[in-house]
Amino acid sequence: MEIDDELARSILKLAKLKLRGDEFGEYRRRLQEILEYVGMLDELDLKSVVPTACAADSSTILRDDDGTESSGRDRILSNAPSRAGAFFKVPRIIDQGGCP
Amino acid sequence: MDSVRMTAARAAGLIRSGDLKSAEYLDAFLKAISDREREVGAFLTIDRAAAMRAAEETDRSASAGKARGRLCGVPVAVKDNICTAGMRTTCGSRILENFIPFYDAHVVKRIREEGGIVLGKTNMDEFAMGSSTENSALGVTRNPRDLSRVPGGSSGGSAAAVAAGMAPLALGSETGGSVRQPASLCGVVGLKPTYGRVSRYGLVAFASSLDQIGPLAACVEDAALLLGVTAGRDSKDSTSSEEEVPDYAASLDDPICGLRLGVPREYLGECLKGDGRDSFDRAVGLFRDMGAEIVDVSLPHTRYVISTYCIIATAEASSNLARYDGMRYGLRTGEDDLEDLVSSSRTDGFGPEVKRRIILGTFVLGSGYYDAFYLKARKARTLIREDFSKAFGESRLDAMLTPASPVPAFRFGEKAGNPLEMYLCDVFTAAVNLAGNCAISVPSFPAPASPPLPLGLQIIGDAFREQVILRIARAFEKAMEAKS
Repeated sequence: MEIDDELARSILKLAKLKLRGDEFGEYRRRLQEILEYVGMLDELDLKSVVPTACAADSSTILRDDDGTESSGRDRILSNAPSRAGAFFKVPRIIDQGGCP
Repeated sequence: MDSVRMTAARAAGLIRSGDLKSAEYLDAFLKAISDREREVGAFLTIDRAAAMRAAEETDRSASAGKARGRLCGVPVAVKDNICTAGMRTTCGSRILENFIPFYDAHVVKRIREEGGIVLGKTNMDEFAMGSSTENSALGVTRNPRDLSRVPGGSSGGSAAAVAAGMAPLALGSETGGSVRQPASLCGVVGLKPTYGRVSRYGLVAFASSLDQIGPLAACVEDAALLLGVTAGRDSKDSTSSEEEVPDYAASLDDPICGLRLGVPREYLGECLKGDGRDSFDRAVGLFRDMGAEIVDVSLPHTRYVISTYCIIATAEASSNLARYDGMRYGLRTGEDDLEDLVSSSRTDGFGPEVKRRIILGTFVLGSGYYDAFYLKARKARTLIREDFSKAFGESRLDAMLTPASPVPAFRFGEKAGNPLEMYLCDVFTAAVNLAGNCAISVPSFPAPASPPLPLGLQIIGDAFREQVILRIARAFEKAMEAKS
């Protein structure tokens, strides 16, 4: 299948990546190449095959719902690129004018 | 006493009894680091002082008759995608360059509980995406056997550290062969445990349905030791199994005469030529001489392994790596607005191969393409898994033998320009991750060159049969020692 400019741009938007003009062509070419390679899966008759989600045969093993000591706020915030007191600081996402 | 050549299992015993000082044992590896690290570049972080303090503490306990643990006083190198409290954990990426975890991964906790000492963190392909460690954003690792060649990857730093005698033991991680392939290229032992055998709590996620943490060591006995320490149920990883952990060391030297070892004929095709083929044929011959029964088997969907792996691993990676948004940890660039901050941070923080895989993964999960790619790959995975269960079941195999890597260590840049060619480095290993089985790479007959280039033999086991493959690997190791 052909990866046109529009499709490539929509993938980048979903992936939250920005590419420069010269990088864009290279990434698109590599994506195209890999999609052509994996196209070999079309040779398989998969109509009645149940898909595998995980390598484990057993189901998820849950632990008891016991309270345990948490990591603590300061430790969780210790790697924050920007913080204000007890909060992660991020750009404003609500209009300055407040809610209507 | 030549500490570097002694097995870690023996060293731990001697340290426990006070017959060897942990500080002296550690010092032998620190000296090797001083001698070789500048040219090899296996580590991203080394904390000599903390390691020496821990070793001296062990020696004080030993003097008081209180030293304990299967890894008592033994240093361990840890791949830099496994969290270590207070020691930075970068994943070989700019985006986590300054990330300092406040907790230990389960495997690190187990190492410390058994008296082991974390020596440092090893270089790797960024987010474990690669087969040569060339994709690390933070440094170059060279193959200690031939410095003009790559160590393999993505656990290239761990394999190189062990191969250069800079650590007796190391932890790596696997998604498609990232322990076994560098072990093969560096001439050390590397094991991929069964999915669920070892807890991934504290392992930075790449592809969650495939990832496992595995040991690298200079010999089979030490790989068994580190596996035994790290394996077992952990309530913090819901995929970790309740299956009992056997004493891997107990049966290591049992004879292998009469075992049925399958050789999948699809692995002997055009991917395996020249030196790789010769090495493998000689290894199979050695097993015949030891009285094993060699059985021709078929894994008919082998041709589809790399395609299936590419789709599943990248889809899961695109989802797992969505968490790097510059908000709570990691690199943050761009401050104009939320959307700009997220995409700027990711664009500046991720290297080219990680971006390529996120793009592919985003595409195959996208509306309109999900059924054609991701769902199809999950169905193909079912067929690949069934190949393995049929081979082990109907052919009553104890294990399978294959090469671990189609080629020995290649030169820097030789495959870096061609991602697809790099993906094909995993052609003999990735099926095991898709199926969830265990497998080990053990040094086999090297490729003739000057110096000779290591090649690994892969021994694949049924799920939770690590004990069997370790025993077969040990028999092979002994037979190789007898030949040299």
